[in-house]
Amino acid sequence: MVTEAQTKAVSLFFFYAFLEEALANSATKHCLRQISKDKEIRTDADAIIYWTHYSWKKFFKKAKLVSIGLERMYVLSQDMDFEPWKQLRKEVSNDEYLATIWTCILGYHTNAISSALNITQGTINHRVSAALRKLGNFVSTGEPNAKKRA
Amino acid sequence: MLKKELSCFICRELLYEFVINELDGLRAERVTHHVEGCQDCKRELSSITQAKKYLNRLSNIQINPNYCHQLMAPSNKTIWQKMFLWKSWPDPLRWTFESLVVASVVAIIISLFAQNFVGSRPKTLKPTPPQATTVAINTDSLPDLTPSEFGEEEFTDHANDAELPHPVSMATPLDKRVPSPEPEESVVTAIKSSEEISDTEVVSLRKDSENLTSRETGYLYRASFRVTDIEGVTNELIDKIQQLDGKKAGSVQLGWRRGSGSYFHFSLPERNYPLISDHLKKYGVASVAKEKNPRIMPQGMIRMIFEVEGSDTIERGLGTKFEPPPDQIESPQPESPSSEELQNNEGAGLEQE
Repeated sequence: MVTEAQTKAVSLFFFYAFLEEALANSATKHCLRQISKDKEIRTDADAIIYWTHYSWKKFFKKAKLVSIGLERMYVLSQDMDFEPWKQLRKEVSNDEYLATIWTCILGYHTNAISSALNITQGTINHRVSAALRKLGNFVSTGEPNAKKRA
Repeated sequence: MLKKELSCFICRELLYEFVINELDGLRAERVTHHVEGCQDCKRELSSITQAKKYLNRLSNIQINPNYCHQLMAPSNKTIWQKMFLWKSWPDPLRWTFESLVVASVVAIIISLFAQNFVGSRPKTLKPTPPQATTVAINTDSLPDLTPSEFGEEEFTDHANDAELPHPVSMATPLDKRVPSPEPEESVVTAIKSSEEISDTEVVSLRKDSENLTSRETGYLYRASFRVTDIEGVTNELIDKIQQLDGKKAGSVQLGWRRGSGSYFHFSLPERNYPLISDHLKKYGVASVAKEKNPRIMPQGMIRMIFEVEGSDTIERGLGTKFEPPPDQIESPQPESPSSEELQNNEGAGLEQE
């Protein structure tokens, strides 16, 4: 049985991973289905990180990096600016990108990521650090351009 | 105690942990000390800090509650409905299924096309009715089916070969018939094994054997007997056969004479068979042998061969059988019978008469 917290976490992950409503919706449902069928004993964090990674690999080739209809599924604030994030998506590798989502957006510790994906903690830290340094450059170019949404 | 200075490379690697307060006391102190003295690392630390704040804002996005409930709601689709969710299938499985569907459709189309193509060709397996055989056979023009005992040279005494119809012309009515499904070579081989069929008739029978199957076979009525008055009996038989509507079935005339005997090869209406059979009893012929023969007569007609031997050949010591030509002799000729045997045979012949 999938909990509400797991549902939100998975949905948020794919929202930031694809920035595309239809694809995020399909990937979210696919991941939730895998979590519900999972018979291995895992912690919530391990299950989410493992199955989001699994589902992302199946859907990421279809991503077009275009924001399409995000308002229906998510509540977006008016001053939200996704341009640096889109820029980051183009500049960093997939591993750095995903590690950043898990640690900085979903708030999972690097230990959880390390155990779920069987990667050393130092590797996770290196990937996140590299992504944040580049993201910081995009953010620090000027005042963030807040795009008002009607 | 000398403290080792951190390099910029190591410092950059530790900056993220420094920002999230994951470093132990000693390392944090060293990073702090290095950052204070290094502008590049200070800039890096500022970037990471700003990025962290930006991402913290992004993480505050809320999901639409309706959408969340929709995600959590159990699926109402049955297993069969889920199976037919085409887009949810794994790509390899979907591609395999698609290829199988395309291959099966192509196979069905090809099989239907092949059936239609085969079905449009003229059917070759229908047997023709017996009446077609009746129309095709021209008894007057068929070559004589003389027994091999007469030898091949006997065929030269028949009607001219030019008069013999060409097998193809004979087959004019046969052209309308469906060709036999059996290979012609096997039919020819089977026919050639018969003692009574010449080579020329093989070709004609090839056309004529369209209805010849393993289930159909013709019959030949054969009788051989000896008489003392060969001339009288021959003429008598000729008259009788003609009286009973018999006609020659080969190229030789009725009562063809060769050497010591006479030969009758004719077709007769089947209804007159008892009459000719009764007439033969006059010469001592108790019964007529009925043999299977590949040549099929028209319905209501039978074919008969009479071999009449004159008893004067017994007196001359020429044996009781027709002598084959020398080149066909495969075994030594039997010794001429003694006088006692001749007298016994003569008596038997007279008793028959």
